[in-house]
Order: sequence, then C-alpha cells, then structure tokens
Amino acid sequence: MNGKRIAEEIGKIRDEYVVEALETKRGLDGRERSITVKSKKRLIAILAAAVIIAAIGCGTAAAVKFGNLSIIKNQYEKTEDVLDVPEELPKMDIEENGLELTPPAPKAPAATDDGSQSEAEETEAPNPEELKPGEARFTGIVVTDHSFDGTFDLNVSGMGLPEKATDGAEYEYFESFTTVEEEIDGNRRFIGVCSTSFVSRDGDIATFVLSDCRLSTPPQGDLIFTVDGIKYQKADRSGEVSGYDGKIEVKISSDDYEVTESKYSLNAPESDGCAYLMELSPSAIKVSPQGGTSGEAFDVSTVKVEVKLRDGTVLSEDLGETGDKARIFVGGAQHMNGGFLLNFATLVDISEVSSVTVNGIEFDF
Amino acid sequence: MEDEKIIALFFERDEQAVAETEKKYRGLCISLSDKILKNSFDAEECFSDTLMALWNSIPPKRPENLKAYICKVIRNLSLTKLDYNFAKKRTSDCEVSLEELEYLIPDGASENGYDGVELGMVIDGFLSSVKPEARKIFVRRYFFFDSVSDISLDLGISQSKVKSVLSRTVKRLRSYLTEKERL
Repeated sequence: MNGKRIAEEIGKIRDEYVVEALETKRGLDGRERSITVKSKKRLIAILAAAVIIAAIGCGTAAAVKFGNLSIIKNQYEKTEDVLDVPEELPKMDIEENGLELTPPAPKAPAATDDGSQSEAEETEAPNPEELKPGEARFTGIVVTDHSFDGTFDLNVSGMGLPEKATDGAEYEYFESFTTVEEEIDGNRRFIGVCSTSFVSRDGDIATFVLSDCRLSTPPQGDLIFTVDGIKYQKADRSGEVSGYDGKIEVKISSDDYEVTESKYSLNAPESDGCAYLMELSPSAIKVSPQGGTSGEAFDVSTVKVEVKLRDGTVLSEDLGETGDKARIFVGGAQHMNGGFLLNFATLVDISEVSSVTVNGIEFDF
Repeated sequence: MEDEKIIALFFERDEQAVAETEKKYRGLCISLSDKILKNSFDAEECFSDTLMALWNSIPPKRPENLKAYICKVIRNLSLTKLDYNFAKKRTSDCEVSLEELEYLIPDGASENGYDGVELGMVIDGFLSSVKPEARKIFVRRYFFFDSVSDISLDLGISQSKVKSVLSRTVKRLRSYLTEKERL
C-alpha cells in the first residue's frame, strides 16, 4: 500500500484525536521552558553575530561591536527599548556577562523497548571537550533549505597567529575563503561558499561567524566547511598579514542539524479592511495581503516590528527611528505585492518565536 | 467568531460563513497544506478549494468539530494535489514522510483485510489503545506532518524522545495490524 493511501486512511481518525493533537501546537507552559532556554542561547548567539557582522560591514571599531552585543543581550533579558544606540559603547567581555554559545546537542541514546526514557536522554548536552590545537567546532547553527549560518570556535595554538599586537591592541583576524561541501556515504561534493568573520579571541580560542552561506541544494549529509588560511590585520592597520596558510576544516554531522522550515501565521489579522498573512522563515518575514486586495497599511521605511519569544522576552525595532543605521535585527525592508518583506540581519531560530507584531498588528505562530 | 456561529452561517447560506472561516482558519490550513505540498501557491489553491468544499458540504453535513473537519478536508485535498504533482513530475519534500508512512503498514497488508473494516478505522481503534502522549505525537507527525523538532518544542520533550515514542508506536501499530489481519 502506498504512502499516500495510508495518509488518506489516517485522515479518517476521529476528530477528538485531531483536536487533541492540535491543542499541543501552542506548547505546554512549564515543561517548555527547559527547551527554550537552551534554544534561546543559540538564538542570542546568532543574533549577536548578526550585529557584529553589520558592524564590520560599516567599518566600526571593535569596541562598538561588543557594545552592540551587550545591547542585544539587554534587549532579551530586560526587554529594554534599544532604539537609542549610542555612537560609542564600552567593551564587553562575553564570558563575564554570561553570554554563552550552545553547542549542537549530541544524538541521544534510543529508548528502551518498554518505552522508558533513560536519564541521560533528558539531560542537557554535555560541555564539549577541550579543542585541540588546530581543531574547530560549531557552537551555534541555523540551517535552511538553501542557507547556513553558524558560529564556531577554533583553537589557534601553534598556528602563528599572535594574540596581541606589539602596541597592545588586539589583532583582527580574517579568513581567506570558505567553501562548503556535503559528504554522503564517503562522497563529497561542493554545495556553496560562505562569508566568515572573526568575532573574538580568548587565549587560544578564537570565535568566528559563518554567515550568508548560500547552498545549491538542501543539505542532507555531513557538512564540511573549509577555511583556506587566516590573515590578520597589521598592528598599525596598514594591511593584512597572512598568518596561517593551511586549510581548516569545520565539520557538522547530519545528526547534529535539522533543516528549519518556514511557518505561516495561525491568524490573518485585518488592517484597513484587508487581511494579511505572515510567513516567517529563518531569514525573513513576509507579509502578504489576502483575497487579492491590498490595504497598503505598511510603510516599510517607518514600520515598527516586535518579535516575541516563547519565554516572553521581546525584541523590537522601529525602522522610523533606526533607519539604515544601527539596525538591531532587521537587515533590510522592501514593499512587495501590496505587502512587504523584512530580511533579518542573519538567520533566526524561528521555533523560538511565538508572535510577530507589525505596526501593532499581531501575527501568532 | 465561534465555530457554532460559523456553522450556523453555512446553514443559512450566508457567504459571511466563508469569510469568517477564512479569517479564523487560514493560517492553520495553509500551514498544514504547505507541510504536505511544500509550495505556498499550491497551499493557497488548496485552501480556496477547502472553502469551496465546506460551502458545498455544509449543509447537509453538520461537523461536530469544525476545526478538525477543516483540517481533514484540506489535508485530503492537499494529498490529492500531491498525487497530481507527482503525476506531473513536480517534486515535494513530503515524499519522505510518505515513505515513512509506508513503513506503518506491514508488508503485504491489504486495504480491505481487516474483516471488512476500513484501515482508517482500525488505526483509529489502535490509537484509542495507546497513551495520550504517544497518540498526540503520532497524530502530529502522521496527520499534520509536523517535524520532530516542532513536536519536541511544543510538547517540551527532547527530539530523541519524540523519535523513540514514534518508533515504539509504529512498532506496536504494525503488530496490531498484523494481529488484526490474522483474525
């Protein structure tokens, strides 16, 4: 019997079971929290990386990058209004301020035959082992059908990369080129390229962000990212020096990532007599008018966006105030077919998002 | 608007019934259809067809639970659309889930091999015998085609537990169906 026929038969189960399952779609308070805390750390890591990347793009000084990081953290933890971003901000140490990056969870052991769950299965992922010199490991990832964002740590011991410049300033490291390959049954094939940016260094451990990885096909197998050498900025900032000429591989097993899919809002609220539906993907939110009409309710240059996470924290941005500078999490905005498209500065873990409000109109997820 | 009032509007042949249904259930329906078809345009089309099907079927039918009824209608229409897409060589990621579904039924099982009872009713009977949590996970996966990660998040359990509960439930279902067919 084919799968489609079986799917049709399953469609005949009683309504009670359909409704019972539907009721779980909104999550269960209490038990949900232990999961969201773990995922939230990853979301913070990814969003923090986005701000850093944006800062690098604007040629901003390193101290400001970390300042923005503290704003993002405050934004999540205190639900503060973060729109008045000052020009200069104090440097923030990531560890001192408690911001940590979460490693991908290892595959848990299978349940026993009687269905009971072992204790180990319910616990958080153990801390990763110490990285060996030259070894790299992902600490946060978001994967979609055609894109990848992530942060990874690299032990740079013995790689000829000085931690401090002679004048005491920090070096900024640059990679040369990063390729993405997919490995299935021992066979590798090229599927894309990435931008990689240096974030910070603590002793021998340097942290980098992989962003804007465009993948030619939806990933299925193990992913191998190859960084072709690392350069660093001269102390007098007069140019780059090739510090490490070798290749660095960062791998992630197919067991350690899941491809995130888009979600549609559970409601279609009205504005100016027109109903709108929101599609939320890791890279953007798309608001489309329904029924072939458009109320033209949104001016994207002044739109105010509020993203509410499942644990109640709120992330907000008013493009009317931030405009093109110092954006917090919106990378760009444009009108589209009577609605609009807002790109996130980098990929977002949408499983954490409970609702998105645009100009006071709330879309539930 | 409450479901009872929407059904009443359908019975009064008031077109507002369609508008209210669209307003209340568009997101849920398109989300479900999109999980099957992986195509937002097709999902939109299926939703339009669903509204038409509701208009044509209510009355005479009076669904006990409108939400469940709508889910079943758009699910069936989406599966039919999926069939059409396969015939036209249009691919869908749902193919993987359908392959997974094929494993639910023991090899060689016939569609009418359960003493004249439809397979769907046998599966329904099986679901009444399993624990509520396992049933919810099973229905989320095989009725709504939800991902393991979404189920895990909504139920507040690890993904590995979702996988193991699914695996165990499927194993029991296969045994149940084998036993039923033998009878």
